[in-house]
Amino acid sequence: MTASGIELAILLTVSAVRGTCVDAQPSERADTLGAARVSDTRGGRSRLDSGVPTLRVGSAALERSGARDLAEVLRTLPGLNVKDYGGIGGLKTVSVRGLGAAHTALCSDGFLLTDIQQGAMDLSAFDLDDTGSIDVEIGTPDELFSPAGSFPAGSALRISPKALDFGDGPLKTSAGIGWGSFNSWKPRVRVEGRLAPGWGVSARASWLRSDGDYPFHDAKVISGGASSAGNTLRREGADVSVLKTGLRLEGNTRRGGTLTAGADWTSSERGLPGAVIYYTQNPTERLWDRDLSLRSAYERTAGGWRFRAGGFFRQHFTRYTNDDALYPTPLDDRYLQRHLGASGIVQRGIPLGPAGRELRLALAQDLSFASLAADMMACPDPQRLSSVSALNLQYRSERLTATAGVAATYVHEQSRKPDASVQTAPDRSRLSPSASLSWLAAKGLHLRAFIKDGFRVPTFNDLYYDHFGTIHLVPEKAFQTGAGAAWQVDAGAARLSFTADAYYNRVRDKIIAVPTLFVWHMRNLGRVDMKGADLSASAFVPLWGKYAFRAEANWSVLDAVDLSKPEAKNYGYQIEYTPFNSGAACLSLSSRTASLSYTLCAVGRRWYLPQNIAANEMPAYFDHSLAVRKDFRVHAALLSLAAEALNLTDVNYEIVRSYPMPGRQFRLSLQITI
Amino acid sequence: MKRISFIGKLLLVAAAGMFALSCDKGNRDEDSVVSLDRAFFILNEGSYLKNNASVTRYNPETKRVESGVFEEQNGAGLGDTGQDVLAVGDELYISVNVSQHIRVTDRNLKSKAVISPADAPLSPRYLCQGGGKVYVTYYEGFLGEIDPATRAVRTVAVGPNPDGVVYANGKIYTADSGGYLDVPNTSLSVVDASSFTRTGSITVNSNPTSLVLCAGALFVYSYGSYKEGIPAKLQRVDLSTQQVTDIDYDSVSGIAARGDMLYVLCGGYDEQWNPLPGRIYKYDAARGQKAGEFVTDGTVIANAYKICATEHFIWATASDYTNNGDVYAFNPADGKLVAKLDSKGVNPSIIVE
Repeated sequence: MTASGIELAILLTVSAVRGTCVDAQPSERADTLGAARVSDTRGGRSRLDSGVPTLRVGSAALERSGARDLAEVLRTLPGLNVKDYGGIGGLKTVSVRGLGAAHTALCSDGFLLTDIQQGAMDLSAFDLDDTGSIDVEIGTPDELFSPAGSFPAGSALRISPKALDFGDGPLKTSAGIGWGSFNSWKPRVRVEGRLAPGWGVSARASWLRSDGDYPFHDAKVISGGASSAGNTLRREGADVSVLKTGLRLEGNTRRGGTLTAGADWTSSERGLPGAVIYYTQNPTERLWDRDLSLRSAYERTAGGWRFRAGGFFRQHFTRYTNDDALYPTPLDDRYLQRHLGASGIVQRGIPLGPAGRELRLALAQDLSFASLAADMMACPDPQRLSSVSALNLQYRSERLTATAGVAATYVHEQSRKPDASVQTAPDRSRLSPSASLSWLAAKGLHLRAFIKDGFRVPTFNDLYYDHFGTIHLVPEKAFQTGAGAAWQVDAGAARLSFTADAYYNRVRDKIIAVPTLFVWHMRNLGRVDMKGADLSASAFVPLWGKYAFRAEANWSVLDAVDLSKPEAKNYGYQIEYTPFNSGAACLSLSSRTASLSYTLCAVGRRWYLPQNIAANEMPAYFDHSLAVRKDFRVHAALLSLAAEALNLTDVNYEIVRSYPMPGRQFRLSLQITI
Repeated sequence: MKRISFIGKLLLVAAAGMFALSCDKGNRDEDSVVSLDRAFFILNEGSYLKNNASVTRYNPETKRVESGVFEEQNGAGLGDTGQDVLAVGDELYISVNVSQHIRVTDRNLKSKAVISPADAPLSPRYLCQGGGKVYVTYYEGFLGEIDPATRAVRTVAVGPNPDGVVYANGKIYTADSGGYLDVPNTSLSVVDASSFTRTGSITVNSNPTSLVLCAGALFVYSYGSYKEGIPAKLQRVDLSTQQVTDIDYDSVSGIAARGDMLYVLCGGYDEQWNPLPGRIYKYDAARGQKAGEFVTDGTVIANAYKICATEHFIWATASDYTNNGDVYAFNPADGKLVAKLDSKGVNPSIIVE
């Protein structure tokens, strides 16, 4: 491989792990997510009356699952594919229905979070300790009252903070300590309480540290003539230390509005263990992140109007070092991203006669300014000004929900460097229309269909990375269409629900890195056609006393074929890292104060290179985990004990080639709330 | 239904591939092939960080193409990024760059030894032999000298990121690319074989990568510096005077020598950076003059990657960097295609006999 090829591979790996880490912010009130329409605690994970498939993991489900990071939750959802480089510090991103992670919009606390440098946000940056619920809307947001920036994306993932408890009582303090395999520790504390009548505040801090040196079974190793099979090695240079702090204010104003404000500071340092290379292990990379995020929003509902306005500021600093002896001078790169944004939504509901018929009109507007400064030789210090406006109309009756809308995006870029030779990308604009329909065909049976033309804007790495970037890239388009049915049936106190959806997606002008002899270039070259189906079933069965049994299972099939170059050997083949078959199952037995749950993730065979040949195949795997949780009341204190066993059968698997996932591991946590 | 239709497509594609391959084999000119019952070894570099370097064995007589021989013989893969392979007596020396060792095998690809400096692992690049020793460049900035009998390595510091290496008249020359520098390096190192010390350097074009000895002179192919706008270049170094002269070829992408003839692979790209078909030119090194185009039967080498010369064939490889590559074997006598085959690995680069 040429030196430039190695350089690009390093860039891709580094930028993959260098991802911007924004803490998941508290804040959106549950009802802004349309939670009112979410089926009650007996339901499964899908909302039934939406025009697009929606998935929801509420706080109780989160607690039962024992998940400690977002990736652990998302990998159990149908249609979602989590890419994971392994371990606590390894980059984790999520792709929905094969479109690629950069097509997933992440909204936290009502604001869209973007990583302008590399596109996809690192899921491990989000703090599940402070997450109240997770919603996924596949295709397009069904909830009109959403930030404008979530409409052009392929799918929206919303993370809502835990609701603040600021009743009459005194300050509520909870403190906890978590322990995990590989010398992982996570102390955390959270204080919340009433500041004044109608005003509450919370403050939290956590520190996670881990050696991250999990064992993995190396492929067979031959030393000289002798072959030694199945060596067990440990990940080296995978230590992690993450400090997360956050402050949140929430209050009701005299005029009936709600004001929220939040500030978060995250600081982390980690070793990047890199790929596991046969016959040598030589970790030389480290990464530091400092992230500051400030935001505030005001929301009010009056008459048929609903209104929200807010602003945010985020600053993300990254330092990357590599002292590999290959570099005549060790690498020490620094990057600074800044985002400043404003977001507003106005929604008007117009009742149409009796029977709850209503017309809703929503206009959302996002404005953001983002900049990247890097100390690399050729970085033009690009700045991006973007505007997204979304206009959506929804008709709702008892039987029918019909939604149509369009989002308009405009992007302008300029360079902060006054050098005339520095070029920036031309202005880009694009419309993303969408429409969806949900029809109650029979009691408990909803039929749905949607169509959407979305896209993603090239990232700063795509456009400006030192000699790799190409400023003339056009947006990567993602056309999606799908139809399905959701059926719910009550049998006494038990409830069963089923969903089945089929879809067709097409990605055009896919942005890919194309090698040349001297240097790699980013180009709009790819086309991928996707045909797939997602099926899910869930059951809720009340048992004796306060106990209930829940079962959920889902299965996804995805045929995602590369149609980029008819003359290429992979033409018509399944794209890399994309299983035909994947599924998950969750079983739980729970009461209000205790739960026991089992989770299975099953992923079929897939390929780590574009050609679907035996040499490139990655075998199917099953990952089982168990979680148990029990709350005790000791006088005025509430004691929560939780334990999880992950990858119970100690399966040795990789999601990304050469990046082994941890084998069996255990976690314990204890929390006291006073 | 979905699965079946996809499998159907797979079969179609596979069938089309086999058809294409058999058609190519139909081009083989039986009479022009030297009778050989000897295997050729095709080194596939693999994809960076994917541990899929491999060696494919090819017998032009039987047309047998075997992949996975190393894995079968040894129960494990070669490692990451196969950089070079050199036949030393009855042994093959395979430098595996990212895996940081040189693998020694017999001609059945059975592993016999792993060679690495005693104190710290280094990343081997290219290999050559001379004066009873095997020499290797280490990308960390060293030249290694291997005693084939003891497999012991000693190193001497040369320039930054040395790549190509040749042995000539008791001296070793390394192409010190500086590929990991912001601005690439522009010199070769000269190392005296008997004292194993660096005795001098020769200034050449930016980012020198391949060195080839032909008709007593040293030919240097350099990538140039894309960032500085310095093009790739072919240069000739007179080893007695150390005088460097440019040889004018456009878009050079590799060189190989057989006898007194230098074979120059030229590629280049269109405005959209689509690779143009590779062309191979002959340069008569003894006379110091161009000798026209080598390929005479109109064979188009799409995605040309590397060029290689062995006793019986001139080889061109083709790669799109992600799919398995192709290997073309030409008859040096008449420039006609003898065989084209799928290399069964990513980035086929070096072929040895």
